[in-house]
Amino acid sequence: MRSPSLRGPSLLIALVALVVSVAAAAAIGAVHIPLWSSVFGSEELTALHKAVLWELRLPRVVLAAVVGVGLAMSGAVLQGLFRNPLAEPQLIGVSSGAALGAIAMIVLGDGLAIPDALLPYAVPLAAIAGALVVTTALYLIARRIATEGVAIMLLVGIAINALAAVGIGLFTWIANDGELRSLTFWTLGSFGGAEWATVVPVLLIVLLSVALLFPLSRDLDALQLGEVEARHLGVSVPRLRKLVVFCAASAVGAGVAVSGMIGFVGLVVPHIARMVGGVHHRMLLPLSALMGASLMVLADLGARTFVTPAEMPVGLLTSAIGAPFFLWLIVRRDRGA
Amino acid sequence: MSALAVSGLGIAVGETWLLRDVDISVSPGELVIVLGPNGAGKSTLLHALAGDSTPSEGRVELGGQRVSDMSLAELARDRAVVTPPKPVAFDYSVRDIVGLGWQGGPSGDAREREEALSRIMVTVEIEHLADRVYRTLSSGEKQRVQFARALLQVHRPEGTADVRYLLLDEPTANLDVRHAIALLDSLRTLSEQRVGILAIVHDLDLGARFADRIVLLAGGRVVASGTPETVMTAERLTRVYGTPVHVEHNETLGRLTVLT
Repeated sequence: MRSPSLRGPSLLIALVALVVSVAAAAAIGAVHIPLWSSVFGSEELTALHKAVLWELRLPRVVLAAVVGVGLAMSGAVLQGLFRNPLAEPQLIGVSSGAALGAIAMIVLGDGLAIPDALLPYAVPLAAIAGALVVTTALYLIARRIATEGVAIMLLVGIAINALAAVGIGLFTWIANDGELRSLTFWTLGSFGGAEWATVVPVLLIVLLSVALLFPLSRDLDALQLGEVEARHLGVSVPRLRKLVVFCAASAVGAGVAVSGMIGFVGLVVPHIARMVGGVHHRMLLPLSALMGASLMVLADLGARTFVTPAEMPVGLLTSAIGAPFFLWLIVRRDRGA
Repeated sequence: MSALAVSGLGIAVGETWLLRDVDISVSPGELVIVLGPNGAGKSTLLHALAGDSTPSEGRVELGGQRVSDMSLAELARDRAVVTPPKPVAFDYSVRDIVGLGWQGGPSGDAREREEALSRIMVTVEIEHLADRVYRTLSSGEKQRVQFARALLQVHRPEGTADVRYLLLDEPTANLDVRHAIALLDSLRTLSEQRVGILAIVHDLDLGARFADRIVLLAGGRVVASGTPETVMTAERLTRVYGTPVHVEHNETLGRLTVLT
């Protein structure tokens, strides 16, 4: 059994790990920034250091952290809502829905005459709309075939992913290069384009989702007994469902709009968080958020330093860790462990 | 009027009436056992009483108030429901699951909660399972855990005497004889603390032994309602169930016994 005494410090440890990851990611790169000796020693940061730090490094690190929070939290709450430990935003098609929404807005948005002030929000909002459509559809389908168990949702996810891939492929094919980033960006993700103007909208949307999701912890726990049973415990399941779908789709959509699809974070992080801090959502949600941020910051650090001066798509790294983990989960569940 | 009651209740799905013209009330301190063959409408009745469904006809009231006008939080405080256990996907411990019944809110008295939780787990004989993963229990054990969860939900501190109700859908379905009797015994004890109880039970003899009142349902209608002695006649049970049922007053036990 997990000892309850491990659970208190685990949030603190995760917080420290996040701070360390962010500091490391801010310092390390093509230009090394002597953060440690400038804070604790006498070394001054040069103008170049400051420019790299503020204009390039930090927006990217913050974006990675925020997207990590969004994906990990969404994974955790979707698993709770669907009562399915294998629900993950990318596997079940939510991320592809978001990518399709974003791409459609980029390619077709010119005709919509969107005011300049709203432009930074237009693509994330379109991505959120795409994610909402998919999540709602999944929920309706999952309810109809609830007795079929865990696997059916993944099959539905395969179908949705295939459908979205057609749209994504079609749009990238008809678009001018100037309009749209590469297919690789959308399918494997990157934080390469990060600047404060793109970070702020995502940050706001993810923070809003987090603020709305945290108070749902007890309701999500009660839901694990079943929908009618949760109702008997005083939970309004329709309200819970709407909030979870809305928040998860928003967090995933906003992230995908600026960084493409980054797989498996929403699967791996909540599982590790459950192993460390237990299954209660009041622990699972904050722990997933912190660990998701750390993991994504470190994955992006790896993506831009492993093969310098080139950069690898960050989704390659997260999938390299996540896919074997996913396999292990399937095998373990099949053994009934 | 202080009771959980349905009057003129009818529930239809499409053209089919699952329940029709049903009048039942459960008073505080009363143990009502619902009997009837499969498809009689027993679970439908229980869910209507719980406020889960909207009646096509008639009304459902708790303490004189329509349940449809009550908030889910009010309902959760005033009544607990035990349904057949469903699979749980994550590794909640038995203690976690029982704890979900607590209605004191996150700011509720933590010591009161722990004491009540421990006491209830002893009563239901699941204290040795407290740290086990609920998902890995047998169905009988799960059923007792769900029963404990409901007991915590209707738990009140000493001295408070507000009325609560407990609705149970086949709480003894997977239990061995000893645990089934123990569960019904604790329902008896609970009914002495102003809790009104309605339980669906399939074992006719257990029903006869523990009920204050029997409601016999068949084909969505109440066939008979009253004390076990008045309702449970061999002729009536044989007709309703379509199989020979013997009823006799056992002098040694001093109660009605039902044999099938």
